[in-house]
Formats: sequence, C-alpha cells, structure tokens
Amino acid sequence: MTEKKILPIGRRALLKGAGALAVGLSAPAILTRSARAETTITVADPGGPYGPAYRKAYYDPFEAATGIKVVNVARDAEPTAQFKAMVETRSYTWDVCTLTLSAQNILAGQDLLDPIGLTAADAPGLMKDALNDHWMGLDVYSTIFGYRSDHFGAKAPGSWAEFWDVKTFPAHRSLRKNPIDTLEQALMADGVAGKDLYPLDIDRAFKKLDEIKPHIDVWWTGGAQTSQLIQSGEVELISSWNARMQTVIDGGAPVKICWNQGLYSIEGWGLPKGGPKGDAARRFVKFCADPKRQAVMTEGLAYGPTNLDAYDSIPADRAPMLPTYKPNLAQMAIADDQWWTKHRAEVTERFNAWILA
Amino acid sequence: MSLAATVPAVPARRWRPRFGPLWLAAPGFAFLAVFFLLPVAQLLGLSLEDPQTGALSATAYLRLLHVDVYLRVLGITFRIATLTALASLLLGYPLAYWLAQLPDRRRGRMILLVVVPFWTSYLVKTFAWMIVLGRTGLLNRVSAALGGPELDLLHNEAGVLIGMVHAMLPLAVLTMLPVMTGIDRRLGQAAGTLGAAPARSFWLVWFPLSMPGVAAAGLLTFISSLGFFIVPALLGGRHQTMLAQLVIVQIQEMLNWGFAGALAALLLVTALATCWLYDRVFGLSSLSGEPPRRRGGGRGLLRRLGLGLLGLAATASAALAEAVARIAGPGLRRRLLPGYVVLLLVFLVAPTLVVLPIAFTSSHFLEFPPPGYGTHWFEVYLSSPVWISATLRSFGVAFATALIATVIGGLGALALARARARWRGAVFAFFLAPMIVPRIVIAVGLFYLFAKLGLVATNLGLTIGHTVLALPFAFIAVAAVLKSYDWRLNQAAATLGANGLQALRLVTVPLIKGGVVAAFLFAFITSFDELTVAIFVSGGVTTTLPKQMWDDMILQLNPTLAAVSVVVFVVITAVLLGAERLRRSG
Amino acid sequence: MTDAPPRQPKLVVDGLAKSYGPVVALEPTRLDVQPGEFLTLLGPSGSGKTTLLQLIAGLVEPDAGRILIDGRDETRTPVHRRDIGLVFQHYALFPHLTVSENVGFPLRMRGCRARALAERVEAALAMVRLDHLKERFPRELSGGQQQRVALARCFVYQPSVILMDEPLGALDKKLREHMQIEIKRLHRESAATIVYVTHDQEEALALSDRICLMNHARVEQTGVPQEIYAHPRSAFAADFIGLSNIFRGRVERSAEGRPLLATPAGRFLFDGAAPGAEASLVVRPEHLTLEAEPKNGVAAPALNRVAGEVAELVYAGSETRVLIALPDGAVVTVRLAPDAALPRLGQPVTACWRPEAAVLVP
Repeated sequence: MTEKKILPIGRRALLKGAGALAVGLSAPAILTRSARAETTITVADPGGPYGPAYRKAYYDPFEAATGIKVVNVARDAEPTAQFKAMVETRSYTWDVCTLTLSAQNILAGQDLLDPIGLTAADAPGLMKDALNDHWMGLDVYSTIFGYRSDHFGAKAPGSWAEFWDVKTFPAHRSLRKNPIDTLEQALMADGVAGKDLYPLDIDRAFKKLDEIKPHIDVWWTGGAQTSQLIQSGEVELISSWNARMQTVIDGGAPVKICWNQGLYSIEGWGLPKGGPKGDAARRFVKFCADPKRQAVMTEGLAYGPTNLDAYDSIPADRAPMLPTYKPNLAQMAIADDQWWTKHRAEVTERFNAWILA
Repeated sequence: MSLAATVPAVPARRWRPRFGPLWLAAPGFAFLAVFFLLPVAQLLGLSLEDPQTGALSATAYLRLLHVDVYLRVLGITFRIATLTALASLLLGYPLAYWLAQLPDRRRGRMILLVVVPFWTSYLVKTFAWMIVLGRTGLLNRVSAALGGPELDLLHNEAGVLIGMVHAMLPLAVLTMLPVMTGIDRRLGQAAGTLGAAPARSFWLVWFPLSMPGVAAAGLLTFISSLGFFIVPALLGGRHQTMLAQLVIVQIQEMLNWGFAGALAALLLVTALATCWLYDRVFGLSSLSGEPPRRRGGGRGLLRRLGLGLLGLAATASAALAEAVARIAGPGLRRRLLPGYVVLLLVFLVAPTLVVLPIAFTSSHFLEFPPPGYGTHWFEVYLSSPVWISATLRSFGVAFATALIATVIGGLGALALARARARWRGAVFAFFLAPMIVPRIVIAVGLFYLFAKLGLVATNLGLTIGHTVLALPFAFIAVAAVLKSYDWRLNQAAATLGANGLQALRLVTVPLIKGGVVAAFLFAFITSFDELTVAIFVSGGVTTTLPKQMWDDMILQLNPTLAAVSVVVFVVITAVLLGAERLRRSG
Repeated sequence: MTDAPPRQPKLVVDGLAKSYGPVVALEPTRLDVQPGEFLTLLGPSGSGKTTLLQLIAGLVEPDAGRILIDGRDETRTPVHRRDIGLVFQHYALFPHLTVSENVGFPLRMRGCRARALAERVEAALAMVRLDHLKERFPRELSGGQQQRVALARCFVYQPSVILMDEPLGALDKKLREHMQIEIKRLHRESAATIVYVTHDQEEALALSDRICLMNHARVEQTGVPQEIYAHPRSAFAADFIGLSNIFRGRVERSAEGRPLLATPAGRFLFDGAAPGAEASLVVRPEHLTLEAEPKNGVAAPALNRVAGEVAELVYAGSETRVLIALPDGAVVTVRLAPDAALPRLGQPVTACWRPEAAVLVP
C-alpha cells in the first residue's frame, strides 16, 4: 500500500487546494440557506431528463404565477429511506418529492406523509388512480417490451406469450432481475388477462418463468442498462420502461415498443410529514394538476400525463408515444402497488432463490 | 561558588502533563470509536431487535439460516471474492516483480500506469467493460473479423471477474510492491553462487520472501471484493448476486434495517474470520510490509510442506526454463516478462482508452467507436449546475477528508512507532479495522447514526464517512516511512535544545514528508472516487461526483458520464504530475 | 605415487577488464591462484577488488579477458554452474530458512541425497561449532554466529574456489580477530583455495599466503605478506601496508660518489639502484632509532638523520609511537619498545636509520 514517492505535493499546492476546499464546502451551504428562504420551496424530482422537463412545464411557470421560487434537486432512485430519516430527524431537505405508487404506499403506511389537500373536483380530467389524500400522480410510465425491428422484420412478437415463444421468435432476450413486473409478465404469457392479474398466482408465475429461464441471456438491474442493451444490439428483445425504449428510438436505433399487455404505474408528488412549507408545497402540487402544464411536460419526457385533458394540446405525432394515449392505455393494465407493498419481501426472497437455482 | 547559583530560581518540579506517545493515537481512537465502532455495533444491535417491539430477537438471523437464498448468496460472494483475490495475485505478481526490479525512478513512472484505473470512476470503468466485452462488443467484433469464435464474456461470472480483477489489480500490485522492493538483492546472488539456477533461486528464495506482501494483498483484495455491488449488477448474469446488493435492496427498497443489519453481520463475520485466519498464519503486522513474526509454528509441518512444494516448483520450472532456452534460445525467456507486463498494462488502461473517445462522441449513446465526434457532452457537463456543484463538492470533501485523515492517521502512525511494543498491536489493529470491514457495512451503519444526528446529506457527514474509510490508508502510508526513520535524530535535536514538538516539526515531519504526502493523496483519491458511503450519506443538494454519476446511470445513460470522467481524469493527472514536478524541482 | 603433473593454477584471471560507461572498474588484470592458496585482494574502496571478485564469481560480465578454473574456461558459465563459493559481507543468509536449511541449500542444488545432505550439514556446522543452533533462524543469531553460518554454507560443498567479500567487515574488532583465527583454521583444515577481499591491511597480513594489492582499478603489487611489507614497490604499497615514513626527492651523488636522495627533510643514503631521477624513500617506524640531542650542540652530519621536536606520543600498549615534527612540516613516526625511555613533548630529538633499512620506490 505504500509507495513513498508516489505523489509529493508542495505547500503551494496545498494552499491552493485549501482554497478550493473552502469554495467547495461553502457553495452548497449558501444554496441550502437560500433554499430555506420564505419564498422558496425545494422539490426533489428524479433528476436526469426529468429536471429540465419539469422546470419548463411546472417550476418556471409556478414561479411566474406565484413568485415562489422552486429549487429542484435530484432524489435517490428509492427515496424512502431518506424520506424516513428526514421526517424522523425533522431536518427537511425537501418540501415536495416525487414518489412512485409503491413508495407512496410504504411511506403512507408508516405515517410519514402530509395530506395534499386536493380533491377530484379540483382537476376533473385526472385519472382516478392518480389521486389520494397524500399523493397526486403527475406522470404515467409503463412496463412494456421493446424489440429490434431490424432483427425481427415484419414478423415481430406482439404479446408476452410471443415473448415467451422462443421457437417462433428466436432472439437474445432480457428480463428484469426483480420479481416486480416480471411475475406479471409471466402470468400474462400464460394467458392471464391484465385485469385479472391480482392477487398474483405466484406458483403459476414461477412455473411459467421456469420455461423462459434458460433462454434469458441478460437479467438487467437498471433502466439505463436496458437502453444500452438494446441500443448496442446485445439483446433483441427486452422488457423495459417505455421512456427507456423511446430514448433509444429517438436516438435513431431500429427499436419498437409493444404496448400490448403493458403494465402502467404512476409517479407523483408527496409531502414529508410536518414539513415547514406545507402550504406553499400544496399550492405547487395543485398547480401541477393543470392539463396544459402536463402537456408541456410530455414535450421533453415520454411519460403520459395523468390529466387526460392534456391530450387536447399534445401534438398528434407525439401522443402515440405516451402511455396514457387512449389506444395505448386501452391495451394496458395498472400495476397493483398495494399488493406488492404487502408481498414484496417474501416474493423477492423466492425470486432470488429461483434465479440462483 | 554561591549557593544561589546552584538552586534554580524556578521550582524544578513544576507539574506538566505527560504526553506519552500513546496519546498521539487518541484522536484516531476517539474518531473511530464514534464513527466506526459505534455505527457498526448499532447496526449489529439492530439486527438483533424485533422491528416492532424493539425486544431482543433472533428473527432476522433465523431467516438468514432458513431461507437458503442468503447462505447461497454468501457462498457466491465468497467464491467471487476468492477468485478475484486469486486472479489479482496471480496476474499482479509478475507485474509487481517486474516493477520491483526496475531502478527507483523508472519504477515511480511505471506505477503511474498501474494507478491509472484508480483515476477513472469505476462506474464508468464498468460501462466501458460492457462496451468491450459484450456480444456485439469490441472484443467480439475483433474476434469475428479474425474469424474467431463468439466469446461469452459478459453477463456471467467471467464478466464479473474481469471487472473486479481490473478494479483490484492495482491494489494487489501496490500492496505487494513494498515487500518485494525490500528483498535484499544479494540473496539472489548468494543463491546463484551456491548453485541455484535463476528459476530455482526465484522459487526457493525470492518467492517465499515475497509471501508476506502476497498474503497482505490477498487479504485486502478479498475483503474489498466482498463488498462489490455495481460490477456484479452490470457485468454479471443471473447467478452473480453478491451480498452487498441484497443489503442495498433491504435498506433502500424494503426499509428493513434489522435484516440489512443481519446481512451486514454475515459479511462482517466473513471478513473477520478471514482476518483471524490471516493473523494466525501471517500475523497482521505484515500488512504494513513488516517481516512476519512467526510464533513457533514457523517450524511446523505446514512450513515443511510449503518448502517441499516450492522445491518441486523450483525443480519443475528450472527444467522448463532450460527446455525453453534450448528450443527457443535465451532471448525468448528474457522477453517473456516484459511482453506479459505490456499485455497487463493494456488490460489496466483499456477501459480508460475506451472512455476517452466516447466522451467526444456525437451520439446519444455509449457507442464505440463513436459514429462522429464533437464536444457536445462536455458542454452539457459544464453548463449543468448539478454536475458542477457535484464536482466542486467532491473536490472539497476529498480535500477535507485528506487533511483530517492525514493528521489523525499520521499521529496514529507516530504513536505506533513510539509506543511500547505491547501497545503497538492494539494501535495497529484499531487503525486498520475500517479496511477489514466491508464498506457497505460501514456505510449502512453511518447512515443509521447520521440519520439520528441529522448529518445525512451534509458535507460534514460525507467527510466523516470518507475519513473513516481513508484513515487506514493514510495510517499505513505514514507508518511505512516512519519504520525506516532514525529516531536518534530526535534525540540529537533534543540535545541541541529542541522540545518534543519542535523536534517533530523541524526534524521528523520534513524527513517523512514523502509518506505524509502519499497519505494525503491516498486519502484524497479514496474519498474522491467513493460511492458506497456517498450512496447512503449524500443526497439531495449534497451530491458527490460518483453519486451523481450513479444517479445518472440509473436514470439516463448518456456520454455525459464519459465526459465527466475524462474531465476528472485530466484534473487528477494534472495535479499528480504537477506534484511530481514540484517535488523534482525541490 | 606417480609423477605429479606440473602444478596447474586453481584459478587464472587472464586479462579480465570491466568498465561502466566511462568509469573503468578494472583495468586488464592477470592473476594466478594456486590450489590451496589463501590470496587476499587488498586495497582501498574503489580500487577494483570487489569488481574483480564479482567477475570471478560471475555476478558481473567482463568486457574482456578469461577466467580459468582448473584450466577450464569458465568466463561465460552462468553463476550457478561455476564451482565457486561466495561469502558476503552481510552474510546474505536466507532469512526464511533455518541454519541447517541454509547450510544444506548448496547441497540441495547439487542433488545431494537426504541422508548424505544431513550428515554433511552436520559436519559443516560442527566445523564452525554451531551444531547446537541448527534449528534457529538467522535473525535469532548474533553477527558472529551468522557469519559462521555463512562460512559453513560455503565450505559445506567444497567449491573449487571460495571467494570472501569483506566477510568480517560488519563485526567489531574483538570478534573480527577471533573470526580471523577461525577462518585460518577452516582454511587449513579444508585445504580450500580462497580469494579474500578486504581493505584492512592487518587482516590481510594476518590471513594471507599472498596479497594482491590493488589501487585505481589495477594490481599494484602481488607477493607474500613479508615481501610486500619489506619491499613495497610503490609509495602507495608502502603507505597502505603498515606505517611508513616516506620522503620524496631527487637522486643525487654524494661527495664520495654514493647515490643519495635529496629531500626537503635532508639527504639520505640508500642501498641498491635508483628507479629514476625522482624517487621516494620508505623507512618503517621500527627501523628508526631516537638519539638524544648531542650535548655539545654540534649537529652530526645530516645523512640518514632527521631532527625535529616531539609533537605527540601515542601509547598503544605493546609499543609507543613518537611523532616528530620536522622543520619543513613533515611528520616522522618512530616506534619505541614499551620499556624504552620516552622523550618529553616538545623536546628536540633526532631520528636515524641504517641505509639498508630504507627502500627506494618510484
């Protein structure tokens, strides 16, 4: 471990570094303090492409309308642990945070969310799944499968049963290394209709998964990985989220999405319990229910608006790429996050055992 | 002579606090007790608690034992870590050997090449390996062009091992090297004059003397490997699930702290058992490159067996060397090692070489070779306040970490050098402990502690966490130079009128400067590329660069990652080369 | 017994030379070592003696010349196939092997069978009186013990030539003298051919059958100790071996036509032929005698006689050295027996010697 001469540094370099240190440590402190000013709320969004899209659709218009400044930061992929720590220590880093349905279930179950104070009457176009006391859905994403059109040509798989059909559709396949969505996909491949999925018949799902197991080349673990896998041609058939596949399609790769038998879910705003800026945060949430705002959001994100009235102002060539576009939505079913919240631990355990076997 | 002259005006026996050398380790002891022992103990305590009632309960452990997934994952983790350690040693040994034979100055320069992988974020490295190893990847395209078979190197154990060995090789080489350079060259000459051919002399003399370094490298790479989670997730197949992945899922997705604690305990027990075994066989002190202290057992059966095996290896390789020399001439044997070294260095540098052009791609994907070139992704990086603030924070936190770790670790090393022999073991074990506890265990423990203290997502919390991880490296770097330091110089300074502190400042510190600087840089780089603690402890507005890269990777994989990684690479290289130049100019 | 063949040298160094870049480490050198001989390479550091030793051992490749062992050309033979033994200054014992394993190492390399190996190791250790420590590791031994292990490790396989590179350099004086006797005994008992390197002239005189004096990368003089001491062939040889009083001057003739050397300190008669127009006169301190200043104050003829003041008295137990400062600044050393009457410091004295006791060198 010791290379004495490897890197000696002079005093000047140290001084310079100390200066950089001071800047590095103080800059975020300033940021945090300004974020705490009365006319500012801190919003945790998923980061990445969400940031600019949300800013254009919600943050800037909200600032213009109310004078309340919105500072956005990227939250963790699974912010539940942080959320919990934040509420318990009463050190509120965020005033509003995007939560998936399942995260919302977990947090509401542990009483860590404040009510948002929004009723269905406030936003008539809102999907009924997109609203409850503690949470308002903002965008809809769906689990579908994507395929390489250059590999399949005209004869492409169009259902999970065909995804499972390795004889008719030879390809390198990839599924998620996680029971969520994967079990549903197995059941649909076995002929269960989308609306009859829950409660999941776990035994049947695993039996169906046994069939495909030897034909799966890659078990993916992260969304970005799926884009990479299909874009590079590493696999030709892959379960994924629609926006992941859309990025690849927008990038010019010969990839198509099969909406049939997709499962959709909703992401939306939640408020940490006891947050000091609850009122401003609630105003912000209500602002986001506006169909016009949601339509703007879809310009930069391939996610569906939860307020279906938004389609009135979404261009016709963009609409078919979105999960809540009527023909797409009609082919899909909603994932039951409640069921998963309850059974996730044990099913995950079984899935892990199954995949290692 | 008057009486007054013999009696001092001031009372001679004024009370002064006695700062024995052991006190120097006090800051380190205190720091590690609060931010290392306490959180790890808390986490383990949590695993024994019933989540609802808080009563003592063994539920989590029963679940570990009864559901066979966990023991199986432990087995896989153990297997992958073992293979990684073995491969790192086997591949790294000839490289370290080669480096050890070089003249000092050239060795210094070649080591930079070995360290290159350290300066490329390992998230990015992992993606680079996907690009190189994939079914449609670089290697397979080359293979296809040459009419070779399709190589199955990704999404299986081979892929995981390539990624992990690549990450661990520099650590293995840098750990073995000091022991090797410490071997007396004359011993080889002596073996020669006594009739040992070069191959036999190597096996019978050089190899056994290099063993302490090999063992230390094996231990460090093994324990570091236990905590991997990104590489198996991205390069592995369905069989490659490692314990750290499960710990992360339990905490981030299941919010099941108790069970995460139990899984962490499993990891910890594995690591500690390995250490215990290591201490039995080699003695922990050999981690710092000291000669092993054998206790009687040195004359045992095991030793005889080892020597016997070496004898066989010696005879066989001498015969082989002879045969090769006879068939191919002596030239081949002389070119074999340099040839191998070149290949290995190519392996080490390859991911960085792949990342470089991707940073300048015109594509939206991590494609190689890029379809066109441009600086778009640098513009994205430089115009993004999120990336820039993450970059600044990483530098700031790394600097603070390096300063604190160097001071605390340096004082600890002084204590080690000056304390009485019976305390040395304790000082040594304590300062090294964070290195032999898997990072994920420390990270989770700290998160739990910080959540209570309100230190989650603060720069202070991050700095503390990184200091815990960097402390052993800083400690070892300073301890290594102190080992050859002549303490009589301080006595000389004292007779010339310097007090203890002055002697330390004016004599000791200038002379061990090299070690102090190395400690600083080790700590800096440890913090700068740290992800595990960052995943748990940073977040929100306080994101470090690796954490931002990790988030980005989950959300939108695009060449910004490569651009960022190139910027970081250039900055660090510039700093290091500048430091080297500064040193040379005096 | 049949007719003995003409004695062939055990080791011949024939025109061996070595340079490192522009630095000449060894000028072309010729050296014969007879079987059973104890030859010492003596010289100051940097004189080329260690280079010569390493060349013989094969640790360094020569630029020119040959090495013959028992008449065979071994110049290109790799180290491990040359039948030589080398004892290092810092012993170079293998720290991971026990004493008996260290000593057994060369036998193992020669494929010696286990039983024979054990017996020979035992015998070698008995020879250096270390048989009771054979299971120890080197670091558990004292410096003298380690050196004896190194000797045993070398003698055990009876190499054609044993090379020793300042083997006693790291020991204190007392131990060094003890080990000298030990080495002498080993040499006598084993009849080995030994080439010994040292910069310690007393050690060289005590041990050697022959001394090869080296300076500036070449051999200055080779001969038996007595010869080198009594008849140095250069000022360097005279100065390096033993104490000498050396006077530099021009060769002239006395009024009677006898050759003499005119030096700043005086004019000195000498025996034998002069080596050139300029030369140095060497007189050993034991050949000088002190004369009290003549009472009448009339100085005797200044031939082979120098006058000065006592500058220092150095007591050394078996003798006392008197240092006399001459008017020209030179210092002359006179050796007195312990029972001799000592002059006082500062006392004017005269020292003289017989012409045949002096040696003239170039």
